[in-house]
Amino acid sequence: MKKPPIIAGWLINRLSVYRNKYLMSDDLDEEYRDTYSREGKLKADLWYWRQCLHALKFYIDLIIPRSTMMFKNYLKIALRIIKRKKGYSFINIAGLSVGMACFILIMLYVRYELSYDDFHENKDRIFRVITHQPGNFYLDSDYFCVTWAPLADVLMNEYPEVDYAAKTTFWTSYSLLIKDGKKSYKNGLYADENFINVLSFNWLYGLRETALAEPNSIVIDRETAEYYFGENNPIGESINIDGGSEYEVTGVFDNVPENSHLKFNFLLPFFTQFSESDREEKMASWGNNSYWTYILLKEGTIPEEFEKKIQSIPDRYLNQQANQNLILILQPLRDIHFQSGYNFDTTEIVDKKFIYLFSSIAILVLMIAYINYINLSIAGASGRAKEIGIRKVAGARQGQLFRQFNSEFILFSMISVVIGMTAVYIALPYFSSFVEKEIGFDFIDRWKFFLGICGFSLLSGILCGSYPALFLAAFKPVNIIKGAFTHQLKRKKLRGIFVVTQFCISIILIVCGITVYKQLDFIKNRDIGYNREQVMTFRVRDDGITKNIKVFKEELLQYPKIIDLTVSQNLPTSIINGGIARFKDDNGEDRFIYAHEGVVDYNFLDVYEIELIEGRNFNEKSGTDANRTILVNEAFVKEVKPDNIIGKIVTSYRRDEEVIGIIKDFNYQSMHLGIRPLILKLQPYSVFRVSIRIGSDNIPETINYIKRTYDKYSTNHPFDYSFVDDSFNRLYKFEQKLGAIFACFSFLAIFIAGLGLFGLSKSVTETRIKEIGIRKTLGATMRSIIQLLSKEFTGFLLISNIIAFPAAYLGMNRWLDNFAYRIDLGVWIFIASAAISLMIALITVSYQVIKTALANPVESLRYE
Amino acid sequence: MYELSRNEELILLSIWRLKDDAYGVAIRRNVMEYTKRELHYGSLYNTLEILNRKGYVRLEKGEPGETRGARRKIFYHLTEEGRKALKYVQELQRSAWADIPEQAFKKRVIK
Repeated sequence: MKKPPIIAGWLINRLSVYRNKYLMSDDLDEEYRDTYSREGKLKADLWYWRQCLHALKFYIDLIIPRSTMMFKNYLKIALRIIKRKKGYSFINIAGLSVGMACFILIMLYVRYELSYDDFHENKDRIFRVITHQPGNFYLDSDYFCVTWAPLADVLMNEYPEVDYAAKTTFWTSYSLLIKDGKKSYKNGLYADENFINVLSFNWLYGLRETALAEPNSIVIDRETAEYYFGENNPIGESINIDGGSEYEVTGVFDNVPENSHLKFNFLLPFFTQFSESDREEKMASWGNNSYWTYILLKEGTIPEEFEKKIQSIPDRYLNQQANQNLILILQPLRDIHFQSGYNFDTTEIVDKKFIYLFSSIAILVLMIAYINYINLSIAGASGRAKEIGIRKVAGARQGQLFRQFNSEFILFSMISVVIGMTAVYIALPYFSSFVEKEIGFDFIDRWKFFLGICGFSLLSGILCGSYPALFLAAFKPVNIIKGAFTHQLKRKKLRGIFVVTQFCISIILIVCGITVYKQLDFIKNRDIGYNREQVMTFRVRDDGITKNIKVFKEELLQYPKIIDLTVSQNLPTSIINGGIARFKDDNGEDRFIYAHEGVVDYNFLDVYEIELIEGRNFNEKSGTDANRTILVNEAFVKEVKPDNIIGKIVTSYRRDEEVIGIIKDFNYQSMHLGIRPLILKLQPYSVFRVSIRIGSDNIPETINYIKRTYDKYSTNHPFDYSFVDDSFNRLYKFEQKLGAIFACFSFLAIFIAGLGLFGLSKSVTETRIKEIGIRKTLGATMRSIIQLLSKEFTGFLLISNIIAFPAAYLGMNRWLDNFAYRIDLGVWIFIASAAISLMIALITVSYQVIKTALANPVESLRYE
Repeated sequence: MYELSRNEELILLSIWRLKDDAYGVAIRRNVMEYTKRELHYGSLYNTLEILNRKGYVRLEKGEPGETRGARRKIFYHLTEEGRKALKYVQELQRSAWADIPEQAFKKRVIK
């Protein structure tokens, strides 16, 4: 028996007119068999599929009569429907608005992130030169964004493919600018003259070409210019930096846009970062890579080929030791914002995977909302049956009914779009501050974007809305009056799939949310080896403080609420610097170990309550400790494995220092990383940061006292402090946001899934009203009826859980691998999410179920 | 008044030609003999629907066939109106093309 392809056959059977009136499947089958015998199965199948797809197209043409006259009527009817069926309309519009709002919001964000650095004129030809040093791992990566100072000139002079090459420092300096008594902190970058030729920043005043040529020039942005000079042209004026030298303003540029990976308020000529004596040497040195190099390739240059060409540079210029398989890579400008995992990169990297994740969530939410609409409409069909029957009897054709139901949906959509947009408009400021990006709702600029979004959502909506519209329009009046349509509504499989999907997604989101929350909680409460609470800290840049540090300390310590004070280079939340230390072990051999280094004073361990395991702390009274002794942590000892490390000499940065004690390991980096060997050096007057442990009561007063003391000695820099536990929290900012996002989306997903389940339960209970009535009259208890009705949903729930758990488990495991310290994904989490989903399902279903179970059997059986 | 689209015309002609044997598959095959391109079922049924609405064609369920399972085939018959329409179109064709010679649209060969 030659059978045509089943799926295509199913498709045709959805087209009621063709099927019933013209018996299309019969015609098709006959020809199929002929084709099969003449040309074989493959050709026959292909032919069949073609016929089916074309049939779909023609069916739509048949169903949609070409007149547009009826639209006003349809609109009127649609409005009346909304008034009549308030519950149904409200649920639908609510669901659609939520879906729409999420979609728009997320797309705005995605668009913003994708637009990073797109304002540069020649963006496709701009590259950043980075290096890959296989095997040389620093902070878990062997890619480095920093290169050497002479590289830019070499590229520009020796290679005709390079139009311009520029270099900048990889750090911006947060400096105090002073003019006529006005002070403010601004971010500045050291850049060479070609910087402006490679990257495009709008120039407002001054000559671009020469602006960064002279030493002591400064180029400022519009915001700075307006702050210090008002409306006047600031060219030629002078500004003081950090109470040091005066700089002459040689140019003004427009504020750097938000979507730029480089953010700065002013530029200084590159070579001025070096003092005059060192300048030439440092500029030509291939021994130090602390700079970003950008190049603009000539038009027509093929980047891959050029990249191969420049591999000769390290061989020619670097000495043997540095040039261990060093590879130069051209990183396209537009990729910079998205490629994470490079050392010495900018801070605002957003992994593209995150963007994809977000976009998928957006589309998913929208689709779920539409699926809900389909479910709800079909569920509500039994209520519309009479209406449809009467309309058909009164002469409405199927096409007209199709258009009527479609216009209902279009009306819903339009209302939801309006509500959704309003919601986005209101929520946007909060959303912006949440993701810490400036996302604007500028209609005028981005009208194409908004048109696209609205178009997409409406179009996909109409597509989805066609299914229920077709379904409803195809009701036969005869069947409606007979009451025989109910069997159509019992088609549970498809809708069951929808509900299972929705709950699956919700459960996954719940599991993720709980996991992230628990992980964060774990991190916060874990013993990190030091006490970060009640310690406030501030940077010291001011000469006044540095020179008077002893007196400053004494005055502060006099205050009763101030418990202890330490002066150091680092906070224990992040000690990043490190280097190779040399160590002579028991056999007299030299061992080399990479260790991080912190620079502290005598009170560091006390202030942060870090435990000393062996040996002794730095001691002021001994008088000889400074610059000669160090403390090491357990990890250091473990790696070196000597018998007794106390008393041994460790050499780093050409200085010999004696180990006098071992401290307990503490997490001096974020808990993404494990604890590595650490050396604490004693340089009591290396004043960079002051950390003060204060008493817990009346903190504002204490801070005030500190401020007054500070102001007494400072000459320029204003008092600017923070609390160490805030710095700590900021390390996990991303995870906190992630948690919040999951919480939010779980809520949304549950909301929408709840709606879906509500609709489904409504339809199922409505079709079984008669059955329930009969059961009641035969004596069934409320309880048994509730059990009977709920049975179907528990099945769905079970399936959702079973599917969701492995997926969530795998996903969360991978995410937790990012942390060196992580929780175990216990059974408890899954039980909790299953319980939550069960609860939600129960709440939504029970309303319908109880209503039906309470229904008077007289009512339901009356028309039998 | 009785004007027909090309599709309608071809299908009506096929129905006339096939006499009592005019059902879906047959009509389609017949039309394709003349047009040499694919007439999709969707297009066929749409046209039949329009012809039905205009009253040119009448649907009739035939005897239960042998090969098609117990279901009855649907046969299409020309109605009186349909006959009139065909006649009108035939006349229209003849008169509109009467004064155009057979060589009119052939390529000219320059001697």
